Amino acid sequence: MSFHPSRRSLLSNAAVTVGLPFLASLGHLPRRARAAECAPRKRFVAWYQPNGFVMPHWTPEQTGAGYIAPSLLEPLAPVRAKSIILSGLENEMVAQAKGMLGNHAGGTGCFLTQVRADSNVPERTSLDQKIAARIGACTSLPSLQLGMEPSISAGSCDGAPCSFSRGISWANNTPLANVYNPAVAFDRMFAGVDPRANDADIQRRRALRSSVLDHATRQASALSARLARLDRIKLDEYLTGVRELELRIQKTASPGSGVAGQCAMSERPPEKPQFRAGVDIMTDLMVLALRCDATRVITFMISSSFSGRDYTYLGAGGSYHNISHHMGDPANLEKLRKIGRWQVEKVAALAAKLDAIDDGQGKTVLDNTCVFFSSEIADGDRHNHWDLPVLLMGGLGGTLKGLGQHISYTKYTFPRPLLGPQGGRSIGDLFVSIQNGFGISDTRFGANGTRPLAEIMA
Amino acid sequence: MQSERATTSRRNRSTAAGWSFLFCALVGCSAGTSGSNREGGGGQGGATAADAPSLDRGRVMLRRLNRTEYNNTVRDLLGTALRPADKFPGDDVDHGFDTIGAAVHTSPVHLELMESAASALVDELLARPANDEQRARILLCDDPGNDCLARVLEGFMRRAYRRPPVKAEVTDLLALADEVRTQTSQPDDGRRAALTAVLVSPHFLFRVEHDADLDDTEARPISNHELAARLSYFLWATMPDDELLEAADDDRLSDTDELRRQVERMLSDGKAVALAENFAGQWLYTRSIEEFAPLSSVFPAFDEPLRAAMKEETERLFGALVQDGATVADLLMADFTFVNDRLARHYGVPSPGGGDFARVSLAGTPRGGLLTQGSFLLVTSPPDRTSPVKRGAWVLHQLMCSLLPPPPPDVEALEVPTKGDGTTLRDRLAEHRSNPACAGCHNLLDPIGFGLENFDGIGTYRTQDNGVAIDASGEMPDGQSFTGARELGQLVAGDAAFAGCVAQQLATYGLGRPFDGEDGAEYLAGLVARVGGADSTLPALLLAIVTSEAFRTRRAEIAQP
Repeated sequence: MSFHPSRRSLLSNAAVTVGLPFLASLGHLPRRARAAECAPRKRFVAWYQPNGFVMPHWTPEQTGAGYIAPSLLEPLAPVRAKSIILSGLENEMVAQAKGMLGNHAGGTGCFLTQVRADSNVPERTSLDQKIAARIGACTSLPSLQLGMEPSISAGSCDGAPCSFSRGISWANNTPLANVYNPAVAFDRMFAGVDPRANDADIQRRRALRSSVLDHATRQASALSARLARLDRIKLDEYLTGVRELELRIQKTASPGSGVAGQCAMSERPPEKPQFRAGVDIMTDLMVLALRCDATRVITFMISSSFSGRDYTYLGAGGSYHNISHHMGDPANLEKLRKIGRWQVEKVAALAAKLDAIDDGQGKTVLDNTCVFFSSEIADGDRHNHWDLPVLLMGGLGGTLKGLGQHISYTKYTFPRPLLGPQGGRSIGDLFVSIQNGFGISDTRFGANGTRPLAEIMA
Repeated sequence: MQSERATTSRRNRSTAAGWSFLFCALVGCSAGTSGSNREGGGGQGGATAADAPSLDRGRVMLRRLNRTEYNNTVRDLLGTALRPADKFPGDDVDHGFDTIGAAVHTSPVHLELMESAASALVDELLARPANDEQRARILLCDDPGNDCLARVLEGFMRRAYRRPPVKAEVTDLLALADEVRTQTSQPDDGRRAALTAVLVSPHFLFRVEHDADLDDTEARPISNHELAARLSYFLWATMPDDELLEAADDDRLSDTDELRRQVERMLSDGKAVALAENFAGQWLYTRSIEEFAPLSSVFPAFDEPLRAAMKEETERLFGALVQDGATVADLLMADFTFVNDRLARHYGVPSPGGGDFARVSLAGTPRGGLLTQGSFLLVTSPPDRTSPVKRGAWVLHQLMCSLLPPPPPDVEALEVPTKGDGTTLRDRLAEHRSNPACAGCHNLLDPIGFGLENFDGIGTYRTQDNGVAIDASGEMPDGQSFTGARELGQLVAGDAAFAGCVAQQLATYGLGRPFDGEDGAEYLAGLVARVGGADSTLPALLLAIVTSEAFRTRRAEIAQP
């Protein structure tokens, strides 16, 4: 079989820079990878946990490295030295309910964007996508959005469009949908890498796919010219997807290339695992993705705030959401503590696995990663967005300090009330710190981030 | 009527007279709940044929097929049993439905999965035996060359794009086929690439409608093919069939009688089950029944056959009410339903026997209409009890289209007594209504839900809660009192806001744009009033929507300031 160079393949060599100049919304897409952004490798994971925690079991009474871990933080022991507990951060101004908006949708909608969950906000890009815009082109998949509990297929979403509570990752006002099926996530990570295919098969498949996507671009471009502004924005989302896929096909065209080729031989996970096993499967997928450099940016929602999941297996039977409205009932608080502790165990397990992978130069993958773990509210009854539970894990390639410490931004000195008062530093300031750690020099993030948290910037 | 509306608030104007005060009470839930405001004795709303409200300013947006529509469409287009969209991420929902153009987004993962679905679908089509009926229908000639392919594409694109292709679109795909054949040296790959390209095209994946003039913000009639697509996705959640496409080809859909004929034909087709599954399933929340898990320790009677039976009951009842030409009020008042043996046992009605579903009378039972169906009662309950709050909110929001604010932030922990001896849920909730921060709304919500307390968290009829006799008396926000589900159903069905709300839900689903603003709700209140309000038959209401100006026109985007 022979291959003739075609208009398509000639174009494809230049396609990273040729493309769709009329589409302003493509600005966030990684255009091409540059060495300075790709090495040394840094990675970001945001882990969303709904419905808050029993804060008295979360917040240590002491600051600094010598803090005594309350019950919820005990599972962090193996990675405590590489973790930072941040107290007193808030996003009350952007997350609080207003009009018909509920606090769960409000808090989840701004979880990584720090802008209000309001369809009229013109610009909404989450921290992970800001990072992906910088380093996404270093990997075949710019970013990966994972979730455990697909939201229910009917019902209200706390007074807001459901996208504000179903996902946390946003690129220029487009919500990036979570993948809930581990097998689909696996296929995404290693799409186009078939270690069993021969070179001719791969070239044939690539020619077919490229021609189809070329056609899609032509049709969409012609259509776009005839559409009104808002319709064109919808079609731009389609074109963004076409363009990302074209880039991916080019990147993964060579058979079994590098680490990805080896990783693609890993066992494909099941499609629909049970929840409990599924969390471990998704955790392993995240580890696989980061180890194999399939992507460096991941968001994960272990559950949704409307989850009525029954955690009887933890000794916490009943509807999770209803239990989180604990109403001060000791039985509810104890159930919530058990659920929360299990959830911290799970993120600690992710960190421990990343810490077991050598990333060269005496560092582990965790050392070069920032795992951000938090919830959309602090307390399930108060629905407050201040004194939030925030946990960072990993050193982000040496750009973060304060590892092993509890750092507090409340106005009180210790001992202090648990929950602390409103008026601490903004979560937006934390996101400024993290983006700076990724080499993004911007000192603003979202509505309220204006300066990094000096206490954690190395 | 006119003067009354002129003096009422923005929200008030969006409802019919009977419930107009309710919006004051609900938005912020701070106003009093005296019944003295009730006006008009539950008349048919604020509009009559004489003062038909003008079309609202809403606009239909470009929208990707949602998962249901994608699966149904490839089923009808290709005759495939594959359901590729089951792997797509869930669709964005707003205003209660997954059909809202402004809300449905396309992220890169959608595109990836739609592209791989397209290639899998075409591979499957081409791998079928040559005598396969559906394959033969698409591959009119079975030759990989371009002469044959041109014929194939014209037919296939017309059905896939829901309109005849323009010549340049066919030419482009033939060139693509040539290019791919040359590249891969496999003759069949040209055809494969062209068919796949059709399934990745935005003209297939999106519901495309054109504004004749991007600066013209007046409502203008849509094309016959655009109307055929609106109609088929509304009633069937799938592509138009040949008969509908032919009617569009001949421009016959501009004729209201033809439109009526098509609606009647489509409602009697099996594909109309989509209206029950997707419209009713989302409106009534019952589509989510699979995701609810009642605690076996509290509800040992619940099992999977019961869940399946509840789901099917609602779909069958909704379908039958449409088929039989029942009225809008019958949704809440029907004195019959469909049960199989499992559900009959659950409801305490005689088993139909034979294992299949049968229509049974509910006369003389505490049940009747949607409010007493297991599916509704289950999906408005947490896993271990009932929730009068959720049920009350559901009645107000889904049946009356009233807006409810969320719980206020920063409410201090409420000390609600846990289940002790001799307290009912009603007693325990009374204490939380004593908190001033909560009382405003919960004084409206809870007394509606109390009327349904005779049905537990899985819809079993009961007369006691925690050993104490249940008090199923309740009160509507306007002060009208009632006892039990049947009386609640009668009160709601008898209010003009209900019929307007049903019209609003249907139009929102069908057109994929909200009607909950002042002008949209008023427009639909007028529309439903003209066909008799809650006394309208469901087919008549559907027909009124399909033949409405809103359904047959579109307007260009109003320029942004």
